[in-house]
Amino acid sequence: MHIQSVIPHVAEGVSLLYSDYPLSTREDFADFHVRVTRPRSIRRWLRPQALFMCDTISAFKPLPLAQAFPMLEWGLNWCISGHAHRYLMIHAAVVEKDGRAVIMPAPPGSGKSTLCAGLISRGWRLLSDEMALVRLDDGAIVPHPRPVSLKNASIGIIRNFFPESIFSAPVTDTIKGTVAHMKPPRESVLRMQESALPACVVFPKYEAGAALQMFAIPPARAFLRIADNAFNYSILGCAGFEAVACLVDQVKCYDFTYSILDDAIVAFDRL
Amino acid sequence: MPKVINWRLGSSREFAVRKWDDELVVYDCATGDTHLLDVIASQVFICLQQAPSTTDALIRLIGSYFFVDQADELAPEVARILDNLSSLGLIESTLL
Repeated sequence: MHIQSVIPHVAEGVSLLYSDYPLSTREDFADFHVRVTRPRSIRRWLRPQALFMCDTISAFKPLPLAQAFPMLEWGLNWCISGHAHRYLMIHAAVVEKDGRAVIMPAPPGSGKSTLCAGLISRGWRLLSDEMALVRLDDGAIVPHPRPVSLKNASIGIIRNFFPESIFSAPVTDTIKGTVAHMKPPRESVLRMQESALPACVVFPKYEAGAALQMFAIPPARAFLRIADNAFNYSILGCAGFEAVACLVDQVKCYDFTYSILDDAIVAFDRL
Repeated sequence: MPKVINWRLGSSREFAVRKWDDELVVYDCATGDTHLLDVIASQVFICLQQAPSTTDALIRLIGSYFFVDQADELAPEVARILDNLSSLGLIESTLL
């Protein structure tokens, strides 16, 4: 990935949250060449904005300049989800411990990223906060341990839960509310070439005051829910069907409801 | 003499099929649609995968599979399933 930007927020965010990543040279091959720029319009002076470009394509409408770093993160997600079709891509967080990866597909607001941040604060390896990349030929999960995107109350919850965590400056008034990104653990970044085999698919749901619950999901039912959460299931056609089927063959699937992060982590340690 | 309906899998379709417990997930390669079939619908589909069949024969086969003494009791349910699978393009009928 080649990233270019003249916007200080972007440089600060990359420097803070990607400092454990190896740097490539300008001559090295990159899958994507992205830029976060300031669009040339009168707004440049009245209401400064940021624009994300992948090669020569502007994927989104410009956003307020203060949202430049979250925009880079959303843009990078867009680059991967729109192009990496040699994988089955599931909208999910993925963590791993003792060689067993747990995939957590869930819609926004389900507490997926909060749970993911809690788990990586307690020794689980981060494979992804946003996308499970399932290799089509062997079903292994390919890591891309980028910053964990947290929103609104979750930011304070994780700061209190893991005071050593490093966060980008919170950005208010985004389409998702207030957003901040948590730096991935150094060990997860250092092991990013190390794929992992999936052992469980857990559909998490945060529910205030709810008792901890984990129920097994019949495999055929789990199949449809995984397919529903896969960005490119339709694009892959029969290969997508086979990839989800192989995944379902390999894993146990659960619905998981939690309200207390510590209890949730204990439950995951027992998976 | 009234004509008899014979059922078979969609002849112009190719399906990828996986079975877990007693439920099938069927991928229709022509449309890209994925279908989850419940226990009885799965058994109807499996019977038709093995060979085309009339409605009456299917009712007997399904009754035998589920150990139902009075197979006729299953007739309305099997008819509903056949209608549903047919509307999805998974099976088709011919007249004998």
